[in-house]
Amino acid sequence: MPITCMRIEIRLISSSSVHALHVHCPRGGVFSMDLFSCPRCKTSSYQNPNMKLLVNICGHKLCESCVESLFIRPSGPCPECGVALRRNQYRQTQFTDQYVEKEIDIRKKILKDYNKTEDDFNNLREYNDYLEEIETIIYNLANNIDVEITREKIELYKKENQSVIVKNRQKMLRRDQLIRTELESERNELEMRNQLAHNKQLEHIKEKAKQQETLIQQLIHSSRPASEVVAEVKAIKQEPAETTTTILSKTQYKQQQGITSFDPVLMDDTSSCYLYHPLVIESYGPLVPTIEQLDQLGYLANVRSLDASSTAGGFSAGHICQRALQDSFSCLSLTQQQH
Amino acid sequence: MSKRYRKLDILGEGQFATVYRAEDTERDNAIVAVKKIKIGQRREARDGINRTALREIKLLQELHHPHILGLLDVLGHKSNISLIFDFMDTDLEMIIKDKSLLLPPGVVKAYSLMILQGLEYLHAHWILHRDLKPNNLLINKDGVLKITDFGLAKAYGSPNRIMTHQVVTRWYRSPELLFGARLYSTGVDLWAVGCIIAEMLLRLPFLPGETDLGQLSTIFEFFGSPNEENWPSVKSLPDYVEFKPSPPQSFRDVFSAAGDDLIHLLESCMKLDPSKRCTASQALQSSYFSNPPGPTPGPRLPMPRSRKEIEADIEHEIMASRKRALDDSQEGQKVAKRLNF
Repeated sequence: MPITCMRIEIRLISSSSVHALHVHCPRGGVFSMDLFSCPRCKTSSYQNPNMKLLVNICGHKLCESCVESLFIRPSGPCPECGVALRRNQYRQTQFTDQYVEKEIDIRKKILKDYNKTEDDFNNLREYNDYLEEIETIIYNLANNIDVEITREKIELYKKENQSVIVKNRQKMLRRDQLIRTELESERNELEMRNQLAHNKQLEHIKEKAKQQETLIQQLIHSSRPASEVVAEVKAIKQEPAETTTTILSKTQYKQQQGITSFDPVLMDDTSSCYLYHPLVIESYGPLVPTIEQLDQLGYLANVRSLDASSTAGGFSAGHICQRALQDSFSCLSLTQQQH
Repeated sequence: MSKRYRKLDILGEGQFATVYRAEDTERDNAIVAVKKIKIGQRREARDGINRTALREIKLLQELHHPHILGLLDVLGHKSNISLIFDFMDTDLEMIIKDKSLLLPPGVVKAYSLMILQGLEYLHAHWILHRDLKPNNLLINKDGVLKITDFGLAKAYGSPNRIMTHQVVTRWYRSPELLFGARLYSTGVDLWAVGCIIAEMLLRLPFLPGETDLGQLSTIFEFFGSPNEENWPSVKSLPDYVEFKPSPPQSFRDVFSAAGDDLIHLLESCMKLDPSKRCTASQALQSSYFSNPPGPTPGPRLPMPRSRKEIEADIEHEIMASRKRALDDSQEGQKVAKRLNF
């Protein structure tokens, strides 16, 4: 019994406190914040906790059932201010103050057209002025100040900046699209990986069950001692168990699927290929034979042979012979003019 | 330093030299690098100029190739020696280590091509570089790679001149050097090139050994241990050590992203037996370089963000925010924001 009493007490306090709350709005008026009831049917959220309050562009609220009964046709007037409304423009309230709701609606509409970004301006100052202008327009519309003039201004702006508006809208659309496709592919990839891991696990469980089965079968039919049979089966089990439990990492998975994703920079093959040009050294003398030629021409017969440790070090008689020849050949034909 | 070159700032300091960035006042203030050789200990100084500096001066004066760092001038002042080089913005090590950079196949090909072209020229002049590593391959802002640091370079091809095997930074040192070979050839540089190309693919050192012996076992873990079959008379090398026989691994498993032509090139650069390794000219004629994709042209090659650039960016950001703050205080309003519910 004392518990119910307490509940009633709390209810009374809470309802009185709600009614006592008032908010001062920028317009100077005072709004009662009786947030929880529909202005038309007077149903409150206390009576119906599932009640949803909806709001339209004029900022006047209605509960869901009132909207359904009033807007059987797709459009109709607002019961409070008589502005023509569409049913599908009703949305759930986010804020308790209907002024805020109205402002949000106006802001959404205005920002659809006033969508320039900082890149469209020469300097920060101009961009800031532009943002300031947007705020003025929204404030005027939300507070019914110079509505006609402001509307005209918006129309003029739309006409003048049509191409920019369309361009920026497309830009945003493309960006959204890109993000969406990226998310999609990421989700797919994750799903595939999970699927793969899941399959592996299933396989692993099956394998285990099968092994158990064979072990029992062998124990039944084998004439050898039980410990020997168990040890043998265990040895076989060790190997496949390792491979089945590994879950592939992202890159391993990609490699297995033959997917290779490269940064666009890596795929840059615009640079032309290299063509080898033999190095020419002007020695002003007869050409020196190559090391292969030296052997064929019999030069190497006159060079002392090297011991094993030199050949193992990569040194060869050809090197000695070629260098000696080059030293003696160079500058043989050098004349005064060339020098 | 002479009046001609005006020092700007220190680029780096090594064991033997300090490198400065400087302006050449006689060439429209072109930026150059000045390598000032440190005077060694008194004992060494008495003997004359530092050996590595002497090698560099001697060799570089006669070498002129687009992929070899040009020695512009040599200055002597009292006991100091300064070498003037082309200014280079970065090196291959920085590029490999900068994980924010991508190294697509065309870029790897372009760098490999430039290394081998420079090397072909060196070998044709009977010079072994003997210290090829990413750190010694400088790259300028036009994407041109140049081989540098000829402090260990030496002429080869004479049987009477015994050479030391204590050359090449360990990770890029070929097995015959590790086995103490005293007469060797172009194979030592080709092995290093193979290591460098592999490092570009892996973005990590391919064969990082902790010690000389550890380096050998790292090599043989991958290439399989040497025997008379894959490396004739290897046992006659001075420091030969018997290794436990092991089978070779395949390049395909380690470089899964590389094409067949590149794998083939790596295999021929990194044969265990140095006499079976390809030469720089043969490497340049391999199908890897003639196949598409073509090498990425210089200007499109990646550049790591230098410390200066990052600093400049931060500076710019501070300036911009300061400017905005000033604007605000003048107009008494913040930057407007688009409201969107």
